[in-house]
Amino acid sequence: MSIEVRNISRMFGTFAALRNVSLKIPSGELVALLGPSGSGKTTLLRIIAGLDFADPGSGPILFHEDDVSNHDVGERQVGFVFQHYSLFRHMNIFENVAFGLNVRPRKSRPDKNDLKERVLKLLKLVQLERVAQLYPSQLSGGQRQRVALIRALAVEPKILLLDEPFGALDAKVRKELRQWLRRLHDEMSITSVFVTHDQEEALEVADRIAVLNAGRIEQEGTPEEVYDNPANPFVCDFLGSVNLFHCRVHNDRLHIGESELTEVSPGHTEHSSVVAYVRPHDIEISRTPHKDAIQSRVVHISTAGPIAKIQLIRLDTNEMVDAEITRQHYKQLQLRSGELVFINLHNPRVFVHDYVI
Amino acid sequence: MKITKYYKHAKTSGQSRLAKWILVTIAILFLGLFLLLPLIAVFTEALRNGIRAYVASFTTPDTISAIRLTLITTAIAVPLNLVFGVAAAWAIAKFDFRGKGILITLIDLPFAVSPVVSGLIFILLFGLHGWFGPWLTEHNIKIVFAIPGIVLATTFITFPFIARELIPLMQSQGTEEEQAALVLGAGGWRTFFRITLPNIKWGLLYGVILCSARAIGEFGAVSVVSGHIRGQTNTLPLHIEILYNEYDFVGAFSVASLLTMFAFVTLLIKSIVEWKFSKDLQEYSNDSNRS
Ligand SMILES: Nc1ncnc2c1ncn2[C@@H]1O[C@H](COP(=O)(O)OP(=O)(O)OP(=O)(O)O)[C@@H](O)[C@H]1O
Ligand SMILES: [Mg+2]
Repeated sequence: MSIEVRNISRMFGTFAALRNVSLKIPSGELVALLGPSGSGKTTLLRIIAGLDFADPGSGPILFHEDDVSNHDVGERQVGFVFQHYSLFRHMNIFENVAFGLNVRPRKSRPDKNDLKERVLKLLKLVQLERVAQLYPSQLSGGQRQRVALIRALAVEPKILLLDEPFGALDAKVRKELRQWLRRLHDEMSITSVFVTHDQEEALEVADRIAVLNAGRIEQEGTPEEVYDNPANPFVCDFLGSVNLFHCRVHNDRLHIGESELTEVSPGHTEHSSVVAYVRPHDIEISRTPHKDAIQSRVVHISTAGPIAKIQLIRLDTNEMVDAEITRQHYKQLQLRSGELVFINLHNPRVFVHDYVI
Repeated sequence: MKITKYYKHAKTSGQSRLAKWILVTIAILFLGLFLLLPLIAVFTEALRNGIRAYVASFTTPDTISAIRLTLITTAIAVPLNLVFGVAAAWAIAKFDFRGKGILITLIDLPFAVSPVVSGLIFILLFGLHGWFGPWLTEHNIKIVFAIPGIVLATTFITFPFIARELIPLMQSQGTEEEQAALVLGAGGWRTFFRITLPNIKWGLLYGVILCSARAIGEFGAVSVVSGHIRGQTNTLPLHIEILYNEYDFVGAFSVASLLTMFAFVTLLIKSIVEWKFSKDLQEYSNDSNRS
């Protein structure tokens, strides 16, 4: 079931948590709402679920063309996974999962055996049959999260909304669970929206990403689109670490001081002051002196992990630059800290003030 | 926890052992003087003329009517406060609205005002020359110096117990479980009975016990509105006072021993509930720490 919201605004007192947000989520996709803390992700998710309501004057909320903005939360029939699980603490795991089925109106409520079968099947799906009789407080964080997920899925919703589903878990469990969520999403025909402030998580599992900032959607697109073609400095900065270079654009090239650096895509107007955003892995390090490069000194090298992280300091401005190169390349270069090198930039994203040129 | 353990296992030096004994002795003396002695006095006085006189003092019509009135009053005031208390705590803990601060202050009012003043307020409102007095006489409704007045005063005095107990508990529990239930399709009532109520049951029971104890024992406000009509508007505490003033010591202390025994039962239930309740609270804080 597709989801669409149009011109949603939400004020808390004088504070605008959402401003004119419009978003279209195609049926069957897994979409990430990505943004820093306080950007309005939870608010948007709650408004879609019907746990909160948009301000008067906002546009409709469409579930497969039907406007549900006046429907109660119960009528919308979505699955919702809360950030802190919110399991019913006085019910055991089985009862938790069965709750949604048990509160159905009599005619659509499954009979006892059917219900038991369905709940056990779900518990098996997340390998939690053994804990069916335990209470939420006796489970680990990862187990609770999985219970919260199947509790939401038990009523077979067409839409699944997840608020930072893995936020409170440690890195390893997180990684496992998000891949598992991706598989689960693919197996059930369901439209999922999940909130996260972890760009890696969003880039890894989502079909599409909507980047939120201060109550606005800054950009929406596939992970490749938002990563490779960020619409503005915020998106660029938020989706991974980035180095900033203050440059000039002249003859379709970036210039810093006397050095003529990399090309920018044609069609850019001449501009005397732009900012080039360059990812660490797009910084090229070379030992051969070159006029058209930025002279820098190696400050620190960290080689733990799959890539070598090199910290440099520019000799012209004393600004820090982070570079990432493969370990192989690092071995070839035989860099030492304190050494003088020459850096060049690739794939710069160039912005004038806050606008793309 | 750690500190008590440390003290228990620490080798106490001669000096601190002395200090310990002095402190314990003071505590015991104090308890004996102010709690045990009166208790013993109540029962010795009550049994002074033997067990037969003791039992007989319960069977006088006035005592029976006082017991009945106290039970009726409690049976009305406690359920009323149960509903009011849960509703008020629910509203305060789970919703944001204007005037919330005022509501919280109002709930505490019966604690802040002297019971005698509370009683006088009812006289002022419903008494013969009170605000609603003429209208009430016209319609032949009696509130003051009658059972309705006693029930009203008792309800007013005992109002804070349940609400006060529930507000912090409900606040600490938040609203996410209820929201989860709503999303899963449970309606408002069902969410209340299946999620909210089970989560507050021990706190609620605790509040009900405190509320009942006070409803049975309330003297000041009830004394003002009752009018002391023997056999009609005397609750147990008022009855005790009358007996005592009439020099019927055996009778007074016998009835007092009844209240005392009720206090014991209350304390017993209270400790059991408290123990259960703290286990629940602990479980809850474990829960929120882990997540
Ligand atoms: N009930 C509320 N009353 C007042 N302000 C609120 C309320 N709910 C949210 N806000 C404010 O709205 C803003 C957006 O909140 P929201 O919870 O949507 O952020 P978020 O993007 O989910 O952040 P996080 O990643 O920290 O969860 C925040 O600044 C928050 O303080
Ligand atoms: Mg949030």
